[in-house]
Amino acid sequence: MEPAFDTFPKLLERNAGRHPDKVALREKRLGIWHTTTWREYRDAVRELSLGLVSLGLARGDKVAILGDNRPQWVMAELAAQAAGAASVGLYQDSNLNEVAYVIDHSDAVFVVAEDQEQVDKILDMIDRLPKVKGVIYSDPRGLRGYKHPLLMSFESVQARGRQMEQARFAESVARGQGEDLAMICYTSGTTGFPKGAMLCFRNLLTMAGSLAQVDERFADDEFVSFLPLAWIGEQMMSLSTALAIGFTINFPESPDTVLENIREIGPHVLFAPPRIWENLSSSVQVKIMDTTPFKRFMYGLWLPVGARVAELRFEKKPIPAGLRALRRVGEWMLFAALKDRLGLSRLRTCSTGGAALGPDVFRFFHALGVPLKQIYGQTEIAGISCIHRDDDIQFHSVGKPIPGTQVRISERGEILSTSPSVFIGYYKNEDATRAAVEGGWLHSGDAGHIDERGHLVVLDRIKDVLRLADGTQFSPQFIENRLKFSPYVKEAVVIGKDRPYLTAMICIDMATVGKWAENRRLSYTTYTDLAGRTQVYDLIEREVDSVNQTLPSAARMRKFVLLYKELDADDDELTRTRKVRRAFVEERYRDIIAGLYGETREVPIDSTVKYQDGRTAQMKTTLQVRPLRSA
Amino acid sequence: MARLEIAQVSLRFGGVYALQDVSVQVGAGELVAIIGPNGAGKTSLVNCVSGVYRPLVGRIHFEGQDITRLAPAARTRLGLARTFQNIALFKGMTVLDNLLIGRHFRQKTGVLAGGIYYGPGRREEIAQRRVVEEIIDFLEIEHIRKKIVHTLPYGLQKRVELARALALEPKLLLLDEPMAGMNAEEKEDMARFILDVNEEKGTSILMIEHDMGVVMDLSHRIYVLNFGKKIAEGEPALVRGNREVQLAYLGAEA
Repeated sequence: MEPAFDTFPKLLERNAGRHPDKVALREKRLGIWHTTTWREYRDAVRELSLGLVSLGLARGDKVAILGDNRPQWVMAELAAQAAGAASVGLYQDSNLNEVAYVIDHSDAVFVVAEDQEQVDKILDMIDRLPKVKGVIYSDPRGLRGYKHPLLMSFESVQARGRQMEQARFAESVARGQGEDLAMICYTSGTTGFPKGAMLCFRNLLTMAGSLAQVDERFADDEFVSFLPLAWIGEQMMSLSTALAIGFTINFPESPDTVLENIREIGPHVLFAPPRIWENLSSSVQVKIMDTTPFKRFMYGLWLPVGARVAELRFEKKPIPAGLRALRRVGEWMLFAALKDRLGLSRLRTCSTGGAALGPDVFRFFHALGVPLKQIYGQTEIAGISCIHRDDDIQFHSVGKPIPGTQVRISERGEILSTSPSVFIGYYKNEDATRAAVEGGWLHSGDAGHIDERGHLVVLDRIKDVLRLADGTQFSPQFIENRLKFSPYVKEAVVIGKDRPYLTAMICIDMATVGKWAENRRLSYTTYTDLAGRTQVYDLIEREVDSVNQTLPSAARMRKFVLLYKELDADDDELTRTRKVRRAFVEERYRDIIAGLYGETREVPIDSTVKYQDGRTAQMKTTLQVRPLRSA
Repeated sequence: MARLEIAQVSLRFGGVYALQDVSVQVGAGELVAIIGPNGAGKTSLVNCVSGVYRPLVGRIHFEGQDITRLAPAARTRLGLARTFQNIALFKGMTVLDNLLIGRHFRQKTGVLAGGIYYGPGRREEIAQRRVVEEIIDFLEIEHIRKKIVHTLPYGLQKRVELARALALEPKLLLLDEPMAGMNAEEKEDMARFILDVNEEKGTSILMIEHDMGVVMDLSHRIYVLNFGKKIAEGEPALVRGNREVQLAYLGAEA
């Protein structure tokens, strides 16, 4: 990090000065990619920033931002920071209570909301948000009839900004320092209320610098921004790294077009959570099932070749010349075309993080020649502490610490880390801060160990490494990941703590199981109906059996049920980053779990389902309990 | 003056009266629903407005102009568009092409000029594509723009059909059971889009729908038909409380 450019707004000014006409942002609107140059980017930020100042934004204030990934999101963040304020990102699918809690807890004075959907959430809760002085929207659609006094458009704030003395922007940017609070990142938290991690510019920029040393990024790279900007992982790429390196950020047309847009852009750098990689890999498998026999034959022929090469690379063994030549033919016959279909042809480096990725998915991408790396980190350490190096990748580890970062394992087996990127603390929660950074080391809450190659291996959350009643240790998450590699399994919850044996609650993947049912002329109506079919139970039983084969016999699942609905963040069953909230789920489905450990083969269900707008519906059905022979 | 004025229309198939002396008005920017049991004559009425059927007696005026005897295509040029109970799209073509066909009546370049890549043909193509893209954005169907229609799930096909009707930039939109066969989430989306069309574009809407929740929530006014006769009209609350409607439509026990 250069000392003169120690904040995001300073870097924005630097980039706008050095290459004003280079493309900084690209957004697809009405079917066309529209570009914003660094100069235009800076000018938009200046106008918005001065506009906010004229409306009363002061140094040290907070600005909350809520919406999909759009240029206005990052502009709003930089505008706040340029004025000496900090940004607070909100997940776009947050419900009313979450929105109100975070805005109020963070003391935000302005809220930048994308569209009617988000504005509605804020106006609905406005009575609980006495500190908010203005709600700024960027997409006017549907808002014409709204007359709320606090409501104003993005353009109108920019227009106010244009009336101000423009030099004030540069002065305000210059006053900023690396130690200033840049953002408060609310962690989704698998338990309780979200906590606001405070990060300063120095935290964020040293992380970006250290990461770039071991995982190269260039100014000509293309990056597609599609993960929630409220999440530190996306902040790390679309703000910290993009500003420090100066590469181009592309915003997809809509959340539904992400994969298509990735293909159009052909990014050099890609960062996606396991879910996306799992989707890509299962979409390939679904399409291969559907394709012509010739293509299926080619896939079956060449994929094992790629897998063999990848395996040797993982083990750092030499690759025989014959195999290497065969791999090259495979690249020509299969891999290049497949990568092009996925938009991964130009990919130089890509990573996954946030949760563990199933080894089989990991092997799949390496077999194609996609250099997928694991990363590991927490919001509290600005996103990342470990990553795989190019020539040293193994699927069960998360690589080595990035420069400037130290990682060690405590006596309890907990992963501890320290670096200049360790956060300032939780906003208005000193107890939690003290617990998290005891003795200068950040406590991750993850159990892990360091292997003989010096790689960090993450097992599970410490509190989630569980024991059966007879003391056998097992990691539910590990088994769940194995289950989830099946294209037919969307979500799985493995239960067994203090119980005589393991069981699983499984959510089928509606798309692939539906397709499977269609191919067998099995008719169905809803998710609930499909998940209750005996044939579907048979299908999933085979999948669970094959996972059971890989587990020690004491830790095999003995019974499973197919849940009548998908686990959903709106029902508080998943976090906003889609991790299972185990305790909540076990409480909510305790009747089913009782059924799994009883003698019955059927559990009656009577439950309420909650929609995103807060309405509820009643649901009555009967669940089968399926015992497994493989146990 | 009402945007659509159906005055004392009767329609007969052989000895059966499909419509008897039915009068309906739709004002500018109004969202009006027609409800009634199966065979009540709802679709027949919409077909009279769109020009599929000619009424036996009675007059239909659109913005003051008598359209009773006008050909369907001529009604489209005046600003009338419809969707069908059973989707009527070009199933083998992409969503985009289906919508561009909706723009056909606005195209002025001939076959010859259109065949040449440069010049007026291209300019017009770009202008038409822009209108279509705005509709795609409006109805949030970006992700299926290049998909072949028959590969799409039913709910999305319904949305594409609405999109094609909007491509005609209508002043009055006739929707024949826009929610039929949809699940709860698709219905909710569709309801939002219908409201958006009505509020944002000021389009008058005449809608046939069976889902009472939707009808009561969306419509400004409701007409109730039974055996080809109008038995009630008025605001949702008023219609809901009408004894005759309850007997005819909601069942005798309601």
